[in-house]
Amino acid sequence: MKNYKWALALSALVAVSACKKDDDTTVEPDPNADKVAVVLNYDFNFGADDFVLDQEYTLDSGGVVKFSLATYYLAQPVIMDDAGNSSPLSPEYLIVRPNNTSSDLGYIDPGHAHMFNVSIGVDEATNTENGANGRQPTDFTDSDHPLAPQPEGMYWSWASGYIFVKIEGEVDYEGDGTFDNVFKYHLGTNPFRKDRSTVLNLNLEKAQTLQLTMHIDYEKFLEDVNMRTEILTMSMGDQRPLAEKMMNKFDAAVSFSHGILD
Amino acid sequence: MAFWTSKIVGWKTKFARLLFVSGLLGFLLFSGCAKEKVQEDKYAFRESPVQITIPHFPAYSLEAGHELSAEKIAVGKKLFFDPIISRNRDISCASCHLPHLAFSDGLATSVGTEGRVHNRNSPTLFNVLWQPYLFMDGGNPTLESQVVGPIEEHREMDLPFTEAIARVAANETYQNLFKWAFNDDVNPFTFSLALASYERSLVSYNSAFDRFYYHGDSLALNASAQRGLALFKSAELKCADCHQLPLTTDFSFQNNGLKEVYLDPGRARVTNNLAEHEGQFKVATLRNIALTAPYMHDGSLASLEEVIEHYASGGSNHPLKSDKIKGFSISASEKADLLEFLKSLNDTSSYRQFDFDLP
Repeated sequence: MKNYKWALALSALVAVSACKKDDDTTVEPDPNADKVAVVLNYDFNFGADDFVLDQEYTLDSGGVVKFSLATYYLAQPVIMDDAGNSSPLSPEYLIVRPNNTSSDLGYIDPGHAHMFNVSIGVDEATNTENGANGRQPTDFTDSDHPLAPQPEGMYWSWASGYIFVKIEGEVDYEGDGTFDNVFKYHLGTNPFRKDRSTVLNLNLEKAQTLQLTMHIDYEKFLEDVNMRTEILTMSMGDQRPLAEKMMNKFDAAVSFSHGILD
Repeated sequence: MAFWTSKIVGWKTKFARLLFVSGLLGFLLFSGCAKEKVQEDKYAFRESPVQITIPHFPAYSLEAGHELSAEKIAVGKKLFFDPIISRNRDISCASCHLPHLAFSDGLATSVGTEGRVHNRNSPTLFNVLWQPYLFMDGGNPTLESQVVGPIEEHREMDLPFTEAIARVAANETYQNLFKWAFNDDVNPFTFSLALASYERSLVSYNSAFDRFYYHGDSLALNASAQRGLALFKSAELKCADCHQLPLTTDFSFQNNGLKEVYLDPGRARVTNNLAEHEGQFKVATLRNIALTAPYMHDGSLASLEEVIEHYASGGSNHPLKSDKIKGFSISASEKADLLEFLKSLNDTSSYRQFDFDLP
């Protein structure tokens, strides 16, 4: 009888342990198993060299430049199908720095992906002067939010708007090791936002990853820029034409490629 | 002393000693706890609502969550006077907004950290509660988001906003004060709301003019000031067309013909529309105007006499000059009357009723 009781107790213990083990190892089904992951990679170069902050690059003129800042916003990335239906990607806003290698943009349904759209800058509703539709950086208690205050200062409170592209550095005109001047390109305001579309024409199957890559060639960005006179713009007043030029050059320095990863 | 050194110690004495020591320990412990308790209570979250209602001023509304409280105002005041939020810890908001100069600074254009000279005159902060947009070009819609500007501007405090937040957040006193006032950490929202709350408390509404014009105190304005008021409102001078009562501004953007060529594009800095907005600046309040010399966006007019001369002359021939600026003739005595009226707009004490103590 005594042995029987012990056996019963042991069995109960084993049963309870087994149940607990089952509970612990329960695997939730992956909600995105039938989806297509989207990843945006970044590829930054200065001509044939990798682009790195504080590294010296030689210009065609013989001068030398080095960058101390090259940060920009991307907004509202979407994948569009043939019928023009858009699948918004997430996050809605990205702040990109030279040390970023990639950003996960969430998942989309399998099927035909016709186009990838993204804005360089911040959409007008958010980048608004009157604040009616947008949010100000001071609204964000989440300091990780891309539109929250950033260490580089990506917000102009005087114009209630975001700096879309902020590039700063120094230039050594003679290449003699002495940096002679600084350059600062703070580019923004609604007319200068660049809406980019890249045709994909891809048939995407579940569990695949759509790999998008944003290439920026900073040598191209500075091509045909007079580094003695065209070195400062805050996108306002008489600095506006230079801002327009540099935003166009940034846009031209950007290209996208894509591929599928099984 | 004898009690403790006695060698003849019976059990009663031992018990008494034990009792004494226990009591002493208990007292010390209790005192410690009580002190801790007081310390805790000192920074416990409090929200003492503050409603600023001035019957002869327009109604205003604050966004939900941005309501005023005595605690928010008090913490905002501490931040306003603290140079911790400038790069070199040498400039506070109050460096360019001095209370005794109606929160302006007496300079043509302000001087920031490392002696860097700004291109604009420091405006009074009185009655910013009623400002529909901030800065002379109206580039910012809220007091909360405008705080980013002076902190990051390289000619002012020159500190990344995130670093300003980090500095304040790392300070134990501020950590306690923000818990007390916001029940929250130091973050962009609470930081900017604290400063905005203090600035909203800077009201000026009880000048001699107010007492005369709105409260029926016929003795508040002397005869000269009363004549000046009549001139101010006259169809010939048209001052009140833009400097509308009671706030003495209609917040419109006007090119007042100060320059033939504007180095500062004014409103066009925000709109990027030089063709329509060059040289337009927000109509300034005239409250406490006698304390905020020099005048205009660049401080180029040293005195109120020069300002009157400017408007009397009709200003420049800039194509965007307001059609209200046509010039007028004014005698010396009328000018004196107008000045007397402008001086009657001083009130730098009303706001002190909203001067609340920190815990």
